Amino acid sequence: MELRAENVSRRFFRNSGQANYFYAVKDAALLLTSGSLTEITGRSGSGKSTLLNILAGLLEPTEGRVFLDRVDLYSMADGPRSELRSRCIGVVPQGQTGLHSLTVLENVKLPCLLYGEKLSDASALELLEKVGIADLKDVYPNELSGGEMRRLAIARALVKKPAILLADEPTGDLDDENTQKILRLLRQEADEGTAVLLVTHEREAAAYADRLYRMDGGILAEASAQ
Amino acid sequence: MRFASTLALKNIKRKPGRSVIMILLAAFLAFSIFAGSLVVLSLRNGLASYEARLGADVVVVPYEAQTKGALESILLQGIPGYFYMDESAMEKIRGMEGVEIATPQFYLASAKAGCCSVALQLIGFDPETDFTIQPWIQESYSGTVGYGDVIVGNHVSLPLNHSLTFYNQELRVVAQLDETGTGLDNAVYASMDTVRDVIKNAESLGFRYLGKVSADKAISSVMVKVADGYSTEAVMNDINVHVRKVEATQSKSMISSIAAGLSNVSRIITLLTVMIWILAIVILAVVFVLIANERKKEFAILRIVGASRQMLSRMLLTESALISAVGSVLGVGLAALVAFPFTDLIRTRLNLPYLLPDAGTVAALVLGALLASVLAGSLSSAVSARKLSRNDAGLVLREGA
Amino acid sequence: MEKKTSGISVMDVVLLVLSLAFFLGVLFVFDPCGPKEDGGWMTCHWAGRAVSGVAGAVAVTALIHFFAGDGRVKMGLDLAILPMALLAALIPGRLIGLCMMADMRCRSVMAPAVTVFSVLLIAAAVIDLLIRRKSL
Repeated sequence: MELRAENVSRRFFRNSGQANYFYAVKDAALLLTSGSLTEITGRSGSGKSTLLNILAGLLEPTEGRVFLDRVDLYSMADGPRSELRSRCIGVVPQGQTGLHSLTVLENVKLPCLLYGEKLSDASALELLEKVGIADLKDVYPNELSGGEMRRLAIARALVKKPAILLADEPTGDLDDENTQKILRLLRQEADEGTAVLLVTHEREAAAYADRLYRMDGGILAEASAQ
Repeated sequence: MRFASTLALKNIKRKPGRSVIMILLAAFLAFSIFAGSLVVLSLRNGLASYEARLGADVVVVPYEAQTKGALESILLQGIPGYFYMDESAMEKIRGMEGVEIATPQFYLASAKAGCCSVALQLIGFDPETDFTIQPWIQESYSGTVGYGDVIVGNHVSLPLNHSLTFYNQELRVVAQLDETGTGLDNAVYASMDTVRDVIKNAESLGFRYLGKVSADKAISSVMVKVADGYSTEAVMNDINVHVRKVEATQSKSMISSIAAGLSNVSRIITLLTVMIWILAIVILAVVFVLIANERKKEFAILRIVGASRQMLSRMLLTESALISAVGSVLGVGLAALVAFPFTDLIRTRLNLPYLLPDAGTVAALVLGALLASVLAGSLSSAVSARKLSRNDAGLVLREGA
Repeated sequence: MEKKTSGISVMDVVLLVLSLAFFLGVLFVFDPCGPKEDGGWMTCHWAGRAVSGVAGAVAVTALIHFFAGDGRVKMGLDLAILPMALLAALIPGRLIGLCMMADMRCRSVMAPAVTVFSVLLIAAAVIDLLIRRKSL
């Protein structure tokens, strides 16, 4: 499976100022293919997360199109697109993203709950084991540290074994040891056939990437791989 | 969808403070509309029953009694009273044009009845001509009311030995009447012969109730039924002009004065209920908006893991429907717990005929109140549900980052 | 909403406050009719006395409930409150007669208030029982 962005742009309106809009992403083209790990780096505010959200089907581009294989994501209605995202695209969002009313285990199983799919506790636990927070399964997210929360988000994104994995700063707030652990995990996912996109400003991440892009002022450009 | 109820339940449980406040608000809605409409309905019901029980078109009482409003206080508030006139007045009325039936009634207040330090009202009727009390008696007692028999109103408890003593005369209680919600429930009813003998006994015991009227000829009021084709007003005027020392009143006007009082009370209750509703719905809506801000992120996360906008709305609506359902049941339950046991207190405080509606109407009222407040609770969340689900998930998380 | 504290829970406080309000209420707030003009008492007075006795017993039970440490003891005390509250509800009008007229204070104020408190006490005791049974 592949995810392809064709010349996508996203314009935002400013609340004030002379120019009444600006481009967060401008004419970006990107292809994510299974088995490869693509990395986008760039300063904060350069449009990385906006691009990731466009790729995830969460934010409609003002120009350009996004294809999941041959399906034009934004030609679909919200319902089917959401269902498709749930089935094929795992997203690790920025920030603290555990639902406060659910335990860690329930949070990880959340994507399955939405569409009434059964998932055994054992396989969810296995995933928690993989990201190293299995002992916290009955804890509520407000008791988690930033790093633990991030790993929870990764486990949640992987729970439905998506063909595409989009990770927005998955190693932020993590110490070196855990950062390596997560990066290795993502690499392993790619090796197993997932198309992985990693948005980060972690320098050492480049070592795990197949392709490397830089983003600056909304412009996406391929950088030379190391 | 199972996820909606599962998530909604977990959200409610994990935010007990928020949930309790919302449940209380919903309870407030349900309480006010149920209690309010129960009282208004009971008042209307009471007025209808008063109208039905009054039965006569024109009521004639001695002139002094009319000015003191003595009859109204007996009929409405159930305050015992008495007044007398000579039955010649009734004979005169009977002979007038347009009068179909004229029947006497006798009022007597007991000094102290039985155990209690209250006086009882004794009302006598003439079994031959009465057309107001006997139809009512027949609703709950099929036998005849003989000499020495009394029937007690619904608010007079049946004495254990089935006897009541008035001025040393022991009377046998044969039945209890259906409730009317008026002062009539506080009275005891007997035939003319019985009451006249009790009056005579009272006289012989030294009570001077009758004044100059002789006991054998004393009556208290005359209930007049106007013949078809005659104007009630004309008959009333006729009586007032031609019969001395009495005052005839159309029962219509007696009722319309109560109806005015009733519509005042109803208006106040309606106003209060509307105010409570506006207030509670505004508070609910504000709470939902505040919560919506707090929950933007939660919704963004759900979007990211694959929930559609419709699914989010459904979850939020399920949540508010659950909360308002629990609150409404609580509110209606509490209202019922206050309104039903305290019916007598409400009636005496309102000083108006007050008769609870029948069970079917009450059941419909319960359902209506539940439905209305669940709907109101859910609708007040609908606006923020719509807004929340329209948010762009990606943008929300960027703000939070 | 369930609190799994072994110490004092919300329902402990609710039960204690309800039963104290019941006891004090029947003595001072929704007390039965006053004495007759000749100084004698009507039966409703004795009904009120009987209710205050039962309410006092309920209050003591609730107090023990409040301080009892063991959840099972608390459940037992909940059970004890049920028949006592029922008894209190039955006293005015059923076990001991009240005044003759429905408008009298004992029938329009005391009896309904006793009914309301009994129902609330039974509800509170049952809720406490259910919560405790769940966390057992």
